[in-house]
Amino acid sequence: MDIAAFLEWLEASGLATRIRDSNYLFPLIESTHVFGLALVFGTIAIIDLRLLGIASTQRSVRRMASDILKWTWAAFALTALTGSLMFITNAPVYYHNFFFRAKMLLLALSGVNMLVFELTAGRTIHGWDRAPSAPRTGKVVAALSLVMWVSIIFMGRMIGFTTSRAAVAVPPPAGLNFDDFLQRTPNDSGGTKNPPPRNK
Amino acid sequence: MGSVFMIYLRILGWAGMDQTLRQTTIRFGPWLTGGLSLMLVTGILMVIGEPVRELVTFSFWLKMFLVAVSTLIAAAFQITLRKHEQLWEETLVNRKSIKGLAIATFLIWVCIIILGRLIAYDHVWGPWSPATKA
Repeated sequence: MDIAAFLEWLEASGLATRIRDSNYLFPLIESTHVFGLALVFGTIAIIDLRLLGIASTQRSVRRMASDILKWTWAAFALTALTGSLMFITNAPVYYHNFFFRAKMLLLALSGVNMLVFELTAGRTIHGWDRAPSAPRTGKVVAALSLVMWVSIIFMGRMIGFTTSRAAVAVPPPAGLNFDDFLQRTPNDSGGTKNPPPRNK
Repeated sequence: MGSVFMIYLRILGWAGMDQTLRQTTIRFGPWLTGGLSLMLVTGILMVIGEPVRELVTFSFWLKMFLVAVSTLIAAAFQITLRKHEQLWEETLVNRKSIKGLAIATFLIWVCIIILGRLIAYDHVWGPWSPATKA
Protein backbone atom coordinates (compact mmCIF):
# COMPACT_ATOMS: atom_id res chain seq x y z
CA MET A 1 0.00 0.00 0.00
CA ASP A 2 1.51 3.32 -0.98
CA ILE A 3 1.29 6.43 1.16
CA ALA A 4 -1.63 8.00 -0.75
CA ALA A 5 -3.70 4.85 -0.44
CA PHE A 6 -2.82 4.59 3.23
CA LEU A 7 -3.89 8.19 3.89
CA GLU A 8 -7.18 7.60 2.08
CA TRP A 9 -7.72 4.44 4.05
CA LEU A 10 -7.12 6.37 7.29
CA GLU A 11 -9.55 9.07 6.25
CA ALA A 12 -12.22 6.53 5.31
CA SER A 13 -11.82 4.55 8.53
CA GLY A 14 -14.78 4.23 10.88
CA LEU A 15 -13.08 6.25 13.61
CA ALA A 16 -12.22 9.15 11.28
CA THR A 17 -15.74 9.16 9.85
CA ARG A 18 -17.25 9.19 13.30
CA ILE A 19 -15.15 12.19 14.40
CA ARG A 20 -15.88 14.04 11.15
CA ASP A 21 -19.60 13.44 11.30
CA SER A 22 -19.97 14.51 14.91
CA ASN A 23 -20.69 18.12 15.80
CA TYR A 24 -18.82 17.77 19.08
CA LEU A 25 -15.95 15.32 18.75
CA PHE A 26 -13.53 17.39 16.66
CA PRO A 27 -13.88 20.54 18.81
CA LEU A 28 -13.47 18.49 21.99
CA ILE A 29 -10.42 16.64 20.67
CA GLU A 30 -8.90 19.91 19.52
CA SER A 31 -9.56 21.58 22.89
CA THR A 32 -7.89 18.66 24.65
CA HIS A 33 -4.95 19.04 22.27
CA VAL A 34 -4.63 22.72 23.25
CA PHE A 35 -4.80 21.83 26.95
CA GLY A 36 -2.05 19.24 26.46
CA LEU A 37 0.21 21.58 24.53
CA ALA A 38 -0.18 24.29 27.19
CA LEU A 39 1.20 21.80 29.71
CA VAL A 40 3.91 20.48 27.40
CA PHE A 41 5.19 23.96 26.64
CA GLY A 42 4.73 25.27 30.19
CA THR A 43 6.65 22.44 31.80
CA ILE A 44 9.40 22.36 29.16
CA ALA A 45 9.83 26.12 29.55
CA ILE A 46 10.35 25.70 33.32
CA ILE A 47 13.24 23.28 32.69
CA ASP A 48 14.71 25.34 29.82
CA LEU A 49 14.65 28.53 31.89
CA ARG A 50 16.41 26.65 34.70
CA LEU A 51 19.12 25.45 32.30
CA LEU A 52 19.56 28.99 30.99
CA GLY A 53 19.96 30.28 34.54
CA ILE A 54 16.93 32.57 34.26
CA ALA A 55 14.60 31.00 36.86
CA SER A 56 14.66 28.46 39.72
CA THR A 57 18.43 28.88 39.82
CA GLN A 58 18.67 27.70 43.45
CA ARG A 59 17.09 24.31 42.78
CA SER A 60 18.68 21.03 41.78
CA VAL A 61 18.21 20.44 38.06
CA ARG A 62 17.88 16.70 38.58
CA ARG A 63 15.24 17.18 41.25
CA MET A 64 13.27 19.51 38.99
CA ALA A 65 13.57 17.16 36.04
CA SER A 66 12.28 14.21 38.08
CA ASP A 67 9.45 16.36 39.46
CA ILE A 68 8.32 17.87 36.19
CA LEU A 69 9.28 15.80 33.14
CA LYS A 70 6.87 12.95 33.89
CA TRP A 71 4.04 15.50 33.52
CA THR A 72 5.60 16.76 30.29
CA TRP A 73 5.61 13.25 28.85
CA ALA A 74 2.05 12.55 30.00
CA ALA A 75 0.87 15.79 28.40
CA PHE A 76 2.89 15.01 25.26
CA ALA A 77 1.20 11.60 25.01
CA LEU A 78 -2.17 13.36 25.24
CA THR A 79 -1.27 15.80 22.45
CA ALA A 80 0.13 13.00 20.27
CA LEU A 81 -3.08 10.97 20.70
CA THR A 82 -5.43 13.90 20.07
CA GLY A 83 -3.21 15.15 17.22
CA SER A 84 -3.37 11.74 15.53
CA LEU A 85 -7.16 11.66 15.89
CA MET A 86 -7.41 15.06 14.21
CA PHE A 87 -4.98 13.99 11.50
CA ILE A 88 -6.98 10.96 10.40
CA THR A 89 -10.15 13.01 9.81
CA ASN A 90 -8.53 14.71 6.83
CA ALA A 91 -5.28 12.79 6.40
CA PRO A 92 -4.37 13.53 2.74
CA VAL A 93 -4.91 17.29 3.22
CA TYR A 94 -2.87 17.49 6.41
CA TYR A 95 -0.14 15.31 4.95
CA HIS A 96 0.36 17.73 2.05
CA ASN A 97 0.03 20.87 4.19
CA PHE A 98 3.24 22.88 4.49
CA PHE A 99 2.69 23.85 8.12
CA PHE A 100 1.90 20.27 9.12
CA ARG A 101 5.17 19.09 7.56
CA ALA A 102 7.13 21.93 9.16
CA LYS A 103 5.62 21.08 12.52
CA MET A 104 6.51 17.38 12.22
CA LEU A 105 10.05 18.33 11.19
CA LEU A 106 10.38 20.65 14.20
CA LEU A 107 9.05 17.93 16.50
CA ALA A 108 11.70 15.55 15.17
CA LEU A 109 14.38 18.23 15.56
CA SER A 110 13.35 18.89 19.15
CA GLY A 111 13.77 15.15 19.76
CA VAL A 112 17.27 15.33 18.29
CA ASN A 113 17.92 18.41 20.44
CA MET A 114 16.94 16.43 23.54
CA LEU A 115 19.24 13.60 22.47
CA VAL A 116 22.13 16.05 22.04
CA PHE A 117 21.53 17.26 25.59
CA GLU A 118 21.58 13.71 26.97
CA LEU A 119 24.84 12.97 25.15
CA THR A 120 26.60 16.19 26.18
CA ALA A 121 25.66 18.30 29.21
CA GLY A 122 23.33 15.59 30.52
CA ARG A 123 26.28 13.23 31.01
CA THR A 124 28.01 15.59 33.44
CA ILE A 125 24.87 16.77 35.22
CA HIS A 126 26.11 15.64 38.64
CA GLY A 127 28.87 18.25 38.29
CA TRP A 128 26.57 21.24 37.63
CA ASP A 129 23.29 20.05 39.15
CA ARG A 130 23.30 22.90 41.67
CA ALA A 131 25.09 25.50 39.55
CA PRO A 132 22.94 28.52 38.60
CA SER A 133 22.95 27.48 34.94
CA ALA A 134 23.94 24.61 32.65
CA PRO A 135 27.24 24.49 30.72
CA ARG A 136 27.24 26.17 27.33
CA THR A 137 25.94 23.18 25.34
CA GLY A 138 23.08 22.83 27.84
CA LYS A 139 22.20 26.50 27.42
CA VAL A 140 22.24 26.25 23.64
CA VAL A 141 19.98 23.20 23.77
CA ALA A 142 17.59 25.01 26.14
CA ALA A 143 17.43 28.14 23.97
CA LEU A 144 16.88 26.04 20.83
CA SER A 145 14.19 24.07 22.64
CA LEU A 146 12.25 27.24 23.54
CA VAL A 147 12.47 28.56 19.98
CA MET A 148 11.45 25.22 18.48
CA TRP A 149 8.45 24.76 20.79
CA VAL A 150 7.14 28.26 20.13
CA SER A 151 7.52 27.51 16.40
CA ILE A 152 5.74 24.16 16.80
CA ILE A 153 2.77 25.92 18.41
CA PHE A 154 2.78 28.54 15.64
CA MET A 155 2.88 25.88 12.90
CA GLY A 156 0.12 23.94 14.63
CA ARG A 157 -2.12 26.98 14.69
CA MET A 158 -1.35 27.70 11.03
CA ILE A 159 -2.47 24.17 10.09
CA GLY A 160 -5.93 25.12 11.34
CA PHE A 161 -5.91 28.36 9.36
CA THR A 162 -4.84 26.72 6.10
CA THR A 163 -6.78 23.45 6.03
CA SER A 164 -10.15 24.48 7.42
CA ARG A 165 -13.01 22.64 5.84
CA ALA A 166 -15.41 25.33 7.08
CA ALA A 167 -13.69 28.21 5.29
CA VAL A 168 -16.97 29.86 4.38
CA ALA A 169 -17.82 33.12 6.12
CA VAL A 170 -20.87 32.75 8.34
CA PRO A 171 -22.85 36.00 8.52
CA PRO A 172 -23.55 37.49 11.95
CA PRO A 173 -27.02 36.82 13.36
CA ALA A 174 -29.93 38.71 11.83
CA GLY A 175 -30.96 41.75 13.80
CA LEU A 176 -27.50 42.35 15.18
CA ASN A 177 -26.00 45.56 13.90
CA PHE A 178 -22.50 45.77 15.17
CA ASP A 179 -22.00 49.29 13.88
CA ASP A 180 -24.71 50.46 16.30
CA PHE A 181 -22.89 48.68 19.04
CA LEU A 182 -19.65 50.43 18.15
CA GLN A 183 -21.43 53.81 17.78
CA ARG A 184 -20.30 54.16 14.19
CA THR A 185 -21.93 54.41 10.83
CA PRO A 186 -21.26 51.54 8.45
CA ASN A 187 -19.25 53.77 6.12
CA ASP A 188 -16.60 54.86 8.59
CA SER A 189 -16.19 51.54 10.33
CA GLY A 190 -12.73 51.23 8.84
CA GLY A 191 -13.17 47.49 8.74
CA THR A 192 -12.47 45.29 5.77
CA LYS A 193 -15.24 45.20 3.20
CA ASN A 194 -14.48 41.60 2.46
CA PRO A 195 -13.88 39.97 5.81
CA PRO A 196 -11.35 37.14 5.79
CA PRO A 197 -12.78 33.65 5.74
CA ARG A 198 -13.85 32.39 9.10
CA ASN A 199 -11.41 29.70 9.89
CA LYS A 200 -11.02 27.30 12.75
CA MET B 1 -0.44 27.25 32.38
CA GLY B 2 2.86 25.70 33.40
CA SER B 3 3.13 28.10 36.33
CA VAL B 4 -0.38 27.57 37.61
CA PHE B 5 0.11 23.82 37.20
CA MET B 6 3.30 23.82 39.31
CA ILE B 7 1.59 25.73 42.14
CA TYR B 8 -1.26 23.19 42.13
CA LEU B 9 1.17 20.27 42.11
CA ARG B 10 2.94 21.78 45.12
CA ILE B 11 -0.37 22.23 47.03
CA LEU B 12 -1.28 18.64 46.19
CA GLY B 13 2.18 17.49 47.28
CA TRP B 14 2.90 15.91 43.88
CA ALA B 15 5.92 18.04 42.93
CA GLY B 16 8.34 20.60 44.32
CA MET B 17 8.25 19.23 47.85
CA ASP B 18 11.83 20.44 48.39
CA GLN B 19 10.40 23.95 48.24
CA THR B 20 7.99 25.70 50.60
CA LEU B 21 4.64 26.85 49.27
CA ARG B 22 5.81 30.46 49.50
CA GLN B 23 9.01 29.68 47.58
CA THR B 24 6.88 28.03 44.90
CA THR B 25 4.59 31.06 44.52
CA ILE B 26 7.57 33.45 44.53
CA ARG B 27 9.04 31.42 41.65
CA PHE B 28 5.86 30.99 39.60
CA GLY B 29 3.55 33.86 40.66
CA PRO B 30 5.23 36.54 38.52
CA TRP B 31 5.32 34.21 35.48
CA LEU B 32 1.63 33.50 36.00
CA THR B 33 0.91 37.26 36.06
CA GLY B 34 3.16 37.80 33.04
CA GLY B 35 1.49 35.00 31.08
CA LEU B 36 -1.97 36.29 31.95
CA SER B 37 -1.02 39.83 30.90
CA LEU B 38 0.37 38.63 27.57
CA MET B 39 -2.82 36.67 26.92
CA LEU B 40 -4.93 39.69 27.89
CA VAL B 41 -3.14 41.88 25.34
CA THR B 42 -3.20 39.30 22.52
CA GLY B 43 -6.79 38.40 23.41
CA ILE B 44 -7.89 42.04 23.16
CA LEU B 45 -6.12 42.32 19.79
CA MET B 46 -8.02 39.27 18.52
CA VAL B 47 -11.35 40.70 19.72
CA ILE B 48 -10.59 44.01 18.00
CA GLY B 49 -9.64 42.09 14.85
CA GLU B 50 -12.81 40.05 14.64
CA PRO B 51 -15.32 41.45 17.17
CA VAL B 52 -18.39 39.67 15.81
CA ARG B 53 -16.70 36.32 15.67
CA GLU B 54 -15.58 36.62 19.30
CA LEU B 55 -18.28 38.58 21.07
CA VAL B 56 -21.33 36.91 19.58
CA THR B 57 -20.55 33.55 21.16
CA PHE B 58 -21.62 31.80 24.31
CA SER B 59 -18.13 30.30 24.76
CA PHE B 60 -16.45 33.72 24.88
CA TRP B 61 -18.62 35.11 27.66
CA LEU B 62 -18.52 31.97 29.77
CA LYS B 63 -14.75 31.95 29.30
CA MET B 64 -14.43 35.59 30.39
CA PHE B 65 -16.52 34.83 33.47
CA LEU B 66 -14.29 31.89 34.39
CA VAL B 67 -11.11 33.92 33.71
CA ALA B 68 -12.37 36.55 36.14
CA VAL B 69 -13.21 33.89 38.76
CA SER B 70 -9.87 32.09 38.52
CA THR B 71 -7.86 35.32 38.45
CA LEU B 72 -9.62 36.42 41.64
CA ILE B 73 -8.94 33.05 43.26
CA ALA B 74 -5.27 33.20 42.27
CA ALA B 75 -4.92 36.75 43.60
CA ALA B 76 -6.75 35.94 46.85
CA PHE B 77 -4.59 32.86 47.35
CA GLN B 78 -1.33 34.78 46.91
CA ILE B 79 -2.48 37.57 49.25
CA THR B 80 -3.60 35.23 52.06
CA LEU B 81 -0.45 33.14 51.66
CA ARG B 82 1.68 36.27 52.12
CA LYS B 83 -0.32 37.34 55.19
CA HIS B 84 -0.65 33.95 56.86
CA GLU B 85 2.42 32.18 55.61
CA GLN B 86 2.95 29.93 58.63
CA LEU B 87 -0.68 28.87 58.79
CA TRP B 88 -0.60 27.92 55.10
CA GLU B 89 2.70 26.03 55.25
CA GLU B 90 1.88 24.08 58.42
CA THR B 91 -1.85 23.54 58.39
CA LEU B 92 -3.86 24.71 55.42
CA VAL B 93 -1.77 23.06 52.70
CA ASN B 94 -2.32 19.66 54.32
CA ARG B 95 -6.10 20.02 54.49
CA LYS B 96 -8.13 17.82 52.19
CA SER B 97 -10.57 20.68 51.54
CA ILE B 98 -7.73 22.91 50.29
CA LYS B 99 -6.44 20.12 48.04
CA GLY B 100 -9.97 19.63 46.72
CA LEU B 101 -10.24 23.35 46.07
CA ALA B 102 -6.90 23.25 44.21
CA ILE B 103 -8.19 20.50 41.93
CA ALA B 104 -11.45 22.39 41.36
CA THR B 105 -9.69 25.63 40.44
CA PHE B 106 -7.30 23.74 38.16
CA LEU B 107 -10.34 22.34 36.38
CA ILE B 108 -11.57 25.93 35.89
CA TRP B 109 -8.33 26.65 34.00
CA VAL B 110 -8.89 23.53 31.89
CA CYS B 111 -12.43 24.73 31.09
CA ILE B 112 -11.03 28.15 30.12
CA ILE B 113 -8.70 26.52 27.59
CA ILE B 114 -11.49 24.37 26.17
CA LEU B 115 -13.92 27.30 25.96
CA GLY B 116 -11.27 29.40 24.24
CA ARG B 117 -11.02 26.83 21.48
CA LEU B 118 -14.81 26.43 21.36
CA ILE B 119 -15.24 30.12 20.44
CA ALA B 120 -14.52 28.92 16.91
CA TYR B 121 -17.08 26.11 17.27
CA ASP B 122 -19.85 27.88 19.13
CA HIS B 123 -22.49 25.72 17.42
CA VAL B 124 -21.75 23.00 19.96
CA TRP B 125 -23.90 24.98 22.42
CA GLY B 126 -26.96 24.73 20.18
CA PRO B 127 -29.65 27.22 21.16
CA TRP B 128 -27.43 28.73 23.89
CA SER B 129 -25.17 30.20 21.25
CA PRO B 130 -26.29 33.65 20.00
CA ALA B 131 -24.55 32.84 16.69
CA THR B 132 -27.10 30.12 15.92
CA LYS B 133 -30.06 32.48 16.27
CA ALA B 134 -29.60 33.84 12.78
